[in-house]
Amino acid sequence: MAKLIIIEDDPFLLSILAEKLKEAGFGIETAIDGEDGLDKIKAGNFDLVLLDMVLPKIDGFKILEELRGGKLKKIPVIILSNLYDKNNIDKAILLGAKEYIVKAYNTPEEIVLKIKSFLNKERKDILPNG
Amino acid sequence: MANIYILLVFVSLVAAILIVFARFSLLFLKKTDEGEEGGKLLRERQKEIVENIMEGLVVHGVDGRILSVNRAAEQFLSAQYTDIKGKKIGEIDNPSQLLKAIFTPMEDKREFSFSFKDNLEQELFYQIIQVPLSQKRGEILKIIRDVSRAKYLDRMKNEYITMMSHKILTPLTNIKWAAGILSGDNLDEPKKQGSVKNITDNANKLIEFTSHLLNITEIEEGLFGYKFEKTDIAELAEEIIKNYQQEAFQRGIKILIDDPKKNFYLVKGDKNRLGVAMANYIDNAVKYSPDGGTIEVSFHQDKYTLWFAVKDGGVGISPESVGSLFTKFFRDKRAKAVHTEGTGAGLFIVKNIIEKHGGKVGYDPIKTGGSLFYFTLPVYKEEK
Repeated sequence: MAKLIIIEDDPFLLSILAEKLKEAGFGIETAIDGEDGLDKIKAGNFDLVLLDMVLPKIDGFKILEELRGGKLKKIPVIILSNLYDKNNIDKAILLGAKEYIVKAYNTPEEIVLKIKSFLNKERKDILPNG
Repeated sequence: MANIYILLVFVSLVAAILIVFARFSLLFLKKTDEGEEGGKLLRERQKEIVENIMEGLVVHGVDGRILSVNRAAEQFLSAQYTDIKGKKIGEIDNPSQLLKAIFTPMEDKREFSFSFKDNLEQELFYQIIQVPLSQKRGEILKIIRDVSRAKYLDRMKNEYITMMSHKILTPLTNIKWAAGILSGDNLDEPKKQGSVKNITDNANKLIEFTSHLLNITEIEEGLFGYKFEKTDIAELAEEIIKNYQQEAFQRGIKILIDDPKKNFYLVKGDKNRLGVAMANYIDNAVKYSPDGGTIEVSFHQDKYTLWFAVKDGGVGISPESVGSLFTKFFRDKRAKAVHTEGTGAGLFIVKNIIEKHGGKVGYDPIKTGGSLFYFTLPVYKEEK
């Protein structure tokens, strides 16, 4: 079972995403700010990070920088954000994000599908059963 | 007699011709003087224009020798005319980056942009325009325009649009996802209630945000209306604070109000607008205070001025942000780190309301951590 962490400061969006991903068979950890998120990434053994960009304490860009520089750079990161201008998307991709999903343009179900499809491409073995 | 008569007529005629001629000559001479005088004046005026124009002007020959520069160009190029006069770029000691840039081959291009970072790591932008002056003399004019300010405003505008769309999209995502839940199957009552509440809360956020934007537009266009009347500031403060007591209580925050003497702290003001100003200060104090913190609201008054202050033990303001606190859409990094969603409009609105009342706004850092925001207002005077 793939283990995911969602770092998202909006409690409602976080709870829905967590619920939908759990229903899809993923192991889910959550963090409500960047500092907590970074600590949990370092402490846990995650297959994928779902990262919001505008976060309290440490923002998504700083987290990407931290991950890129350290031994955690192999953990794939998918951005889930409502910052959708080209500059910010380019910046995130340049810092190593694998995909950039705009929350407002997707339903939670569509996001789950995109995550499944991404993991399917990346590492078939960590997809949940079924 | 006839001869004398003819002679007299002749002499008179010659005299008249001479007078007319002299008169015309004088006119002509005067005209010439005026022409020379005018030309001199025109040249002087043109020289003054060239010297005082904001654009840097450099004239060089086809061989690249500098023939003339104006005052602005000396500043832009960090060089005195006397040091670079008649020289090619290769013959100038330590030419600045911009000086080197203006001799970049432009071929058929009429203009190009150039940017570099100064000693303070600030990026500066210039536009360099090439104008051929005289083909006979083979002289070229280079016009240097500092476009850093325009670029800065452009960047601010883009950042502003990005920020605005993010602030609108986040509540809309909430509404969209909550509506998705409501239209799904197996909906239990708490989930239904939670989704409905979320839709309401986020719709309210959008309404509040829009109202802030409209307030700003009204302020800037001078349409923000005021109704001035005798207003009791302490009484108003108590009314406003009531609206925040529940949130403060839930987070263990105490809001202390220092001796709100009734009918004492009086001003001539718009009760609603002053209420908005107070609410902004108190809202910020609650938002940025830690759970269990204390907020102190106080009043002070002398013969002419009333002070209203709100002190909190929250995150405080970064020292470098103090000067920008009351500007439109500004948010300090410490505030952003605590609350990602804020319009950055509140303090700008406070400043405008208070200044409209003839008062001033201000901020003092608290050494032990936290902030003190205050405003002053002229004390109420009975009209005679």
